[in-house]
Parts: sequence; C-alpha cells; structure tokens
Amino acid sequence: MSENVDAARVRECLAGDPQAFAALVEQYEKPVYNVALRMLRNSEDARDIAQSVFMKAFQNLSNYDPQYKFYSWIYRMAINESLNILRVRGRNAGPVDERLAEDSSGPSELLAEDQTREAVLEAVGRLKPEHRAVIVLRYFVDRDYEDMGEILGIDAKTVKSRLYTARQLLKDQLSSRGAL
Amino acid sequence: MSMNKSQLQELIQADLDGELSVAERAELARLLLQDPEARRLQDEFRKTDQLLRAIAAAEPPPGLRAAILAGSGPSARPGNSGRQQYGWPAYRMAAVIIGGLLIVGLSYLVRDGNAPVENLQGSLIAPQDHWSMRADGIELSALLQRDGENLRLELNSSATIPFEIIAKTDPAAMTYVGRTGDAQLTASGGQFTVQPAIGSQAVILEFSGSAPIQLELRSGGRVLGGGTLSIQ
Repeated sequence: MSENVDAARVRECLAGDPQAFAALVEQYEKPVYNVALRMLRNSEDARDIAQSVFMKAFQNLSNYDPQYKFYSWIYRMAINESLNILRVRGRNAGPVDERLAEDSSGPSELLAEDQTREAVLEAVGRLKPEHRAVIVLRYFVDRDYEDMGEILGIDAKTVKSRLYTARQLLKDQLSSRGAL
Repeated sequence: MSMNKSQLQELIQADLDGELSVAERAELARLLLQDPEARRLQDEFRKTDQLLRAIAAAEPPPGLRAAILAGSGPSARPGNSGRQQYGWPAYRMAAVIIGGLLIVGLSYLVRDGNAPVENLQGSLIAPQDHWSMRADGIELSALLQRDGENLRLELNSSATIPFEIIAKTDPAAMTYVGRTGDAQLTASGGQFTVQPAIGSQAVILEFSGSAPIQLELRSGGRVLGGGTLSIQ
C-alpha cells in the first residue's frame, strides 16, 4: 500500500506539488537517517547523508523508476553514500572483521543495559561494510531478503549468505564480551 | 540425518527469519531435542537477534527536515537533472549543455582580471572520456576508462602550488570501490575531493556502476575550470 502512496506522491511532486515531497521526507527522514547513522556511527555524517539523499532524490525524481519501491531507491542512495565514506576512511582503518577475533576486552562481567546496547552497536560497527549493510537493513529498517536484494543490487541468496555471516560474527563477538 | 555445525547454524538462522518449511522446522526441533550444543547455539542466536531488535531507532536531529525542505523549496524544481524531464530529445539536451559550457568557459576567461589568462588552457567542453587543463602552476589530465564492470578515473597532475580536484558522482548510480595513489582523499555524499601533493602525482579512483563524473579544479579557493567525463 505504501508503494502506491509513494508512487502517487512522486507523481504529484513532479507535477509541482511541494507538499507531496514534504510528505515523502516526513515518512522517510527517520529511516534514512538511521540507515546512515548505523552504517557510520556518526550523527553528523548521518545528518549530512540524509540531507544529501533527499536533495538528490528531489533533483533526480524524474529518473526514478516506479517499478522499484521508492524506499529501496532512497535507502540504496543512503547505503551507497555511507559505503563511499567508509571506503575512503577505511583505507587507514584496516580490515574490520578481522579485528573481532583480536579484541582484547575479553570475557567480562555482565554488562548493564546501556553497555550491552553500546556493545551491540560497536560490534555492528566492526563488521565489514557489506555485512553491516545487511544487518542495518534487516534490524534497523526492518527489510526482508527481497527488499535487501533490491536495495543492495544483489540476489536473495547472496543477501541470505551475507546476513548469516554477519549475524554469526555478531554472535561470536557479543558472546566473547559476555553480552549473551 | 546428520548435520554439521555450519548447516545447523544456517537452519537456526533461517528459523529466526521465519524462512523454514514445516519439515525443516520439525528437523530443527528434533536436533534441538537431541543435542545440547544445538540448544546452546540456538540460544545465542536468539539473544543476538533480540539484542539487535531491542535497539530503538534514533530520532533525526532537529532542523534536518527543515533543511531538506529548504533545499527543495519553490526555487528548485524536482527532477531538474533528469534527461526526460521535458521529454527533450538527447541531441537538443546535448546542445544546451555544450552551449552552457561555452558560456561558462567564456565567463571564466573574462571573470578574473588577475588570472594568468595566457596560462589557462582547459578544454571546458569535455571530450567523452578525457579532460585536461593547464593553469598557472598546475597541469591536470583526467581519463575515464572501463575496467571490467568498474570505471577507473585516472588523474595525473603536475603542480607547483596546492590544488584540489573535486569529482562529483551520482551516488544512486555509482559506488566508490577504492583508489590507487597517495593523494589525500575525502568524501562527502557523492563528492570526492582529491588533494594531490606538489610535484607529479597519479591517482586512480575506481567506481562500480556507470554515470557521468563532473570534475572541478580548484586552487586557493577559486574554481579554475571543470568538465564532465562519461563513457559508454
């Protein structure tokens, strides 16, 4: 149902109705911001990306292909912009997943709720970008395999494989830190 | 049926995602009943899943929506970068772009009386896949090539003064893959800023996808020139 509403809003926006674009922003501002925030763990970067994504969506609205879901289109932009930043910055950060095994914090006492939350987000932040992307889409904007495939431009089998690997890495990391 | 640990983990995760058939669920239930290690694994995956689901969505910062809408206000038109916006044929659009670039080229030659005009040579009407420019103290050539499924943007520069190259891409159509070369590189949105060192430098930026790349050469806060690269 949301797809039809979105498609109608895109048409109205192209016809010159500014309220239609405002409605799209209202609906997707929060998930787009959260995609970028969970990918990058930096609120300023997430803000910049959210702003940039909507501006580009607005400027390129006539290129939007209605056979795809509108949210897939903008989530894809948010993921790609985040990946661009991660790849540029990651050059000096070294491989990410490999650091999971050598984390020195070791088994610890039970973590308080806030610490557990922080441990989860930190573990997500240590995943390789392609693994992080599927976790973000699955858990923070609640997308299924099909949607994730459309957003990431990969087939459902690859989505499943990446998600399973990512979830296993998170489980191992959280277990080693006493969070499970 | 025997099952190794990797297969068991897949089965447990598929169950978490609600992807198991009735027969597979029955098989998983049988394995869990028989094997305490399987129960421990399932417990860990369930807790991981619950911890991830327990993280609430963050609220966007105040003012974000206003900033977005201010940028798409009455003066802006949606889809103004789209090729099909007014249904114009490609050749007519190309003529408009070339005309615009000519005007920009002329204006930049007359804009700054202090600019070393005799030393500014740049093909502002960009050829399809390469662009070069020579300004006072800076020589730059840019080449866009296809490498398998990726695009390689090769930037060769020779400079005696600091400068930067801005590469603007469409993040919906292109993704940054990596680079070769030691120039400083920053990214913001689909915009990449390369700051080569003084002397001769070669930097290659690699992207997946396919779309035009807009280049801009800047030095001392001034735009010295720009061009658009594209490739079939």
